[in-house]
Amino acid sequence: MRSVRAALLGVVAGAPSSALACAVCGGAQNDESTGVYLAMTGVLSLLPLALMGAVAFWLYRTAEAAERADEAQRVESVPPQVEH
Amino acid sequence: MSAEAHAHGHADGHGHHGHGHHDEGFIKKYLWSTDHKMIGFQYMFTGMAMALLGGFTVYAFRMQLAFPGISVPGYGRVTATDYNALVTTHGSVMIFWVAMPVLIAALGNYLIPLMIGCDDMVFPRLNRLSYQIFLISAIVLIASFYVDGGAFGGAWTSYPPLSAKAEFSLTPKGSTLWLLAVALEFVAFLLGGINFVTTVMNSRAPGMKMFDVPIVVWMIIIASILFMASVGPLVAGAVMLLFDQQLGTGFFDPAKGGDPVLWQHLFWFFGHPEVYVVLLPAMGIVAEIITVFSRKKLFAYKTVLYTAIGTGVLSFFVWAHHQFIAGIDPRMANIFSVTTLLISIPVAEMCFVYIATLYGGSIRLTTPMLWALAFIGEFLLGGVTGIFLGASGADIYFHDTYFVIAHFHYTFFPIAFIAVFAAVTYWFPKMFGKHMNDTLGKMHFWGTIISFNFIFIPLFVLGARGDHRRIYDYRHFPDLMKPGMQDLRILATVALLVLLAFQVVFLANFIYSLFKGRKAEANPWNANTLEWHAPSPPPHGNFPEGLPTVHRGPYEYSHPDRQDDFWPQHLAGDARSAQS
Amino acid sequence: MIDALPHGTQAPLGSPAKRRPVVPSAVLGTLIFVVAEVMFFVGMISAFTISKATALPGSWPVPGQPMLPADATALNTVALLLSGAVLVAAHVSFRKGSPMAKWLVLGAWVLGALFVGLQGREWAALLSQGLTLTSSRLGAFFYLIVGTHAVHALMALVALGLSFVSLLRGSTSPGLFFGAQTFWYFVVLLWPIIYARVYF
Repeated sequence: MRSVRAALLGVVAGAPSSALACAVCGGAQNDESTGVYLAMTGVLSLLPLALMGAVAFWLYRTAEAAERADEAQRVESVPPQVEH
Repeated sequence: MSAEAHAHGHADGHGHHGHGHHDEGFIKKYLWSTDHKMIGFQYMFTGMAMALLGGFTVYAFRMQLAFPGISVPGYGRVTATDYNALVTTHGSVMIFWVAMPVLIAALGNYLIPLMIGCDDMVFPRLNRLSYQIFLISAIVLIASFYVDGGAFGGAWTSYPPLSAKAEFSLTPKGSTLWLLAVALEFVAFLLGGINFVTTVMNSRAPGMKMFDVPIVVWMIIIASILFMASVGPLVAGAVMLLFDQQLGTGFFDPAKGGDPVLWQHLFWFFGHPEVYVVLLPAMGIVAEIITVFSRKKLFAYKTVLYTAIGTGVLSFFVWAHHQFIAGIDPRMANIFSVTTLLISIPVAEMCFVYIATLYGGSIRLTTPMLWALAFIGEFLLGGVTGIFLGASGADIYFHDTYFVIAHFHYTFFPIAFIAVFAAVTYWFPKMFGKHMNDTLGKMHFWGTIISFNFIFIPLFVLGARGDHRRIYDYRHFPDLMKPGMQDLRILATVALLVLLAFQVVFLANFIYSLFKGRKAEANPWNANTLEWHAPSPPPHGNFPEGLPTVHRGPYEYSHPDRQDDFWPQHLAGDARSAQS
Repeated sequence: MIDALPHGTQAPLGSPAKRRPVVPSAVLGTLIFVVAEVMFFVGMISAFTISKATALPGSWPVPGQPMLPADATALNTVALLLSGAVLVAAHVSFRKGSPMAKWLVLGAWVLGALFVGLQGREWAALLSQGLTLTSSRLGAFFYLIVGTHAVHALMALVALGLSFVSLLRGSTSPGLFFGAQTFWYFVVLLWPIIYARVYF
C-alpha cells in the first residue's frame, strides 16, 4: 500500500513538470499565479465538503442524542402491546 | 422537546390530518397547489414538454449534419446561426430543463413524502414557489428564441469571450436571457433541495431510522446536497458574466485584464458535480426496481449508501478535466486525471452491487425492469469510454471530437431517459391509479434502446477518426469528408429519427393508460416501501388511514421466515405472527 | 436491518403520528441555504484572488485608481461584529425567557443598519473618486463582492426586523427568529473574510 502511495505521489508531483505541454503556462512561468491557482483549487474543492461535513456531523450528533432520549423515555414507560 | 410542537413536520401551516380531502377549485388543485404530488406532476409534465423541445432541436440540427443544406421538414433551412442556437438549446434544455426537473424535482417531490411516510413537504409553500420560478425560467428560455438576434448560440457551457460579447455571439439579448433562465432555474432547485433535505431529516415516519430510508430517497438527498454545495461558484460566475454582457465590466475579457479560463473553472466546478447530481437519483431508481423485480434484498444497502457519498465527495475533485486543453498547469492536469479515473471506482461498485442483487433472484422481466437493466448496461458503456477522456494524454486527441459527444450521451441518455422511463413505468400505477399497457411499453423499450445504440456507436467511430464537433457544414472540411464518414453521420441521423418516432409510442401509451388503463390496486408490484401502502393514486394527505409507522428496512424480499415474498415496511410484528 | 421486534407502540388510527424533528426546520433550511451562499461568495473571492495574482507586473494596485479605505472600514467591521455579539446575547436571553431579548434584537438591528449606512457612505466617496464598476478590475470586483454582501445584509436586516416585530407582539414560535439569526450570523462572519481578502 505504501509503495503504491509513494509511486502515485511521484507520478503526481514529479513527472509533469518536465512535460510543460501547455501553451499558456509554459510561456509565462509566473510561479505566484500558479500557486494561487492551486491554492484556490484546493479551497474550492475542500470547502463545500468541509461545510457539508460539518452540517452532517452536527445533524448526526443531534439525531443520536434525540434517539437516545427517545430510547430512555420508552424504557421508562413500557406501554402495553397494541395489536394493529 | 415538547410533543405538540413537533407533532407535525410542518413549519408553515397547512395542516391536513388524513381525514379525506376537501374539494378545491381547478386552479387551486392543478396550478396553485401546495400538494407535493401535484408539484411533482407539474415538474414532470413541464419536463416532458421541454423534452419535446429538446428532441425537436436535435432533429433539426442532426438533419442539417446528415443532409447539409436541405430544407428540414417542419423547420425549414437551418442557417449557421440557427444551428448554433439549436445546439445550445438542445444541450441546456436536456440538462437543465429535462434531466434535473424530472429526476430530482419531479420524482423527489412525488416520492420523498410518500416513501418516508408523511403527508407533505416541510415547506409546502416554498415548494410551490420553487415550481413557479422553474416555470418562469422555462418561459424565459423559450422567449429568447423570439428576441433580436435569436436564441443564444454559445453552447450550453457558455464560454466567454464568445458568450460575453455580442459582437462575437451575435445574440445581444439571447445570451442574457439564457443566463437569466439558468439562474432562475438554479434558484428553483435550491428551494427544492432545501425542502427535500429538511423533510427527510425532520418528517420521517416514526420508527424509520436512517438506514430504513429507501435508497432512491437517499440518492435524491445526496444529489440535492451536491447541487447546493457546488452551484454557488457557477452563480457567482453567471453574475460576473451578466455584468460583462450588460454593464461592460471585463471579468472574463482579456482586453480588460480578465481571464476567460476563469469562467471555465467556475462553470465546471458546478458542471461536473452536476453529472453526479443527475446520476445518483437514476441509480436510486434502478436500485428500487431491481430489488422489487428480482424479489431479493438489495445486496449491501450500506455499501451503496456510502459509495454514493464517496462519489459525491470525489465529484468535487474532478472538474478541471474539462480544461486539459484550455491551458492549465500540467501538474494540476495530472492530479485531475488521477481523480477522474478514481471516480469510476465507486460508480462501477454501484453497478456491481446491482448485478450482485440480481444474482440468484427470481427475475421478472417487466417493462420497468427492462429499463433498469438497460440502464446498467448502457451506462457502463458510457463509463468505460470516460476512462479514455479522463486520461489527460488521450484527451488531447479526443478533445472536441464526436467521441466526447458519444461518451456523454452514453451517460446522460441512460440517466435522463432510460432511468426516467423506468421510474415512470414503475410508479405510473401509484401516480395515476392505472396500469400502463405492457405490450406498448416493451415495444417502446426495444425501439428506443436499439435505435439509441445506432445513434451513438457511429459517433464513437467518427470521433476516433477525428471528426470535430461544433461544425455546421462538413463539406467545407475535406479531411472530415473521407469515405464513409458522411455515411456514418447519416446512419446516426436516421437512427435518431427512429428513436424519436418510438417516443410517440410512449406518449400514446401514457395518454391511453391515463384514461383507459386497467385500474391499479394499491400495491401492484408487491413492493415493500411505504408509497405502496397509500391508495393508488394517493389522496391529499397521502395516508387516509393515518400515517404509517415503520418496522423494518425497505428491501425485505423473500424473507425465509415469511410466506409472502415481500414484507412491507409498515407491517408490525415479526415474521411468524404477522402474515398479511 | 432485520429488526423483528416492533418499535414501541403503534400510533392510533387517525391521530397524527409522532414526528421527531431533529433540529427546527427553519434553522436547518436556512443552514443549507447558507452553505450554498458561502460557496457563492467563495466563488467570487477566489475569482478575485486569482485575478489579482495573475495581473501583469505593475498593473496591481491599479494605477490611477483610489486605494480602498481599509482603515475607515475597520470601524464598520467593528459595528457589524458587535451586532453579531448582541444577537448572541439576545438568543441567550430568549432561551431564558427574558423580556430583554427583543430589545437586544433591536440593538443588533440598529448596529447592523449602522454598518450598511457606513458602507453606503464609503461607496459614495469611492464613486466620487473615480472608482466605478467599469473603471478597472479592482472596481468591478469591489462593487461585485461588497455589493453582494450588502444585498445579503439588507435581506438579513429585513428578516431580523420581522422577527423583532413578532417578538414585540409576544410571539412564542421561534422559527422565524432562529432562521433570521442563522442568516445574520452568516452575514456577520462572512464580512471579516471579505474585508481581509478585498481591502488589503
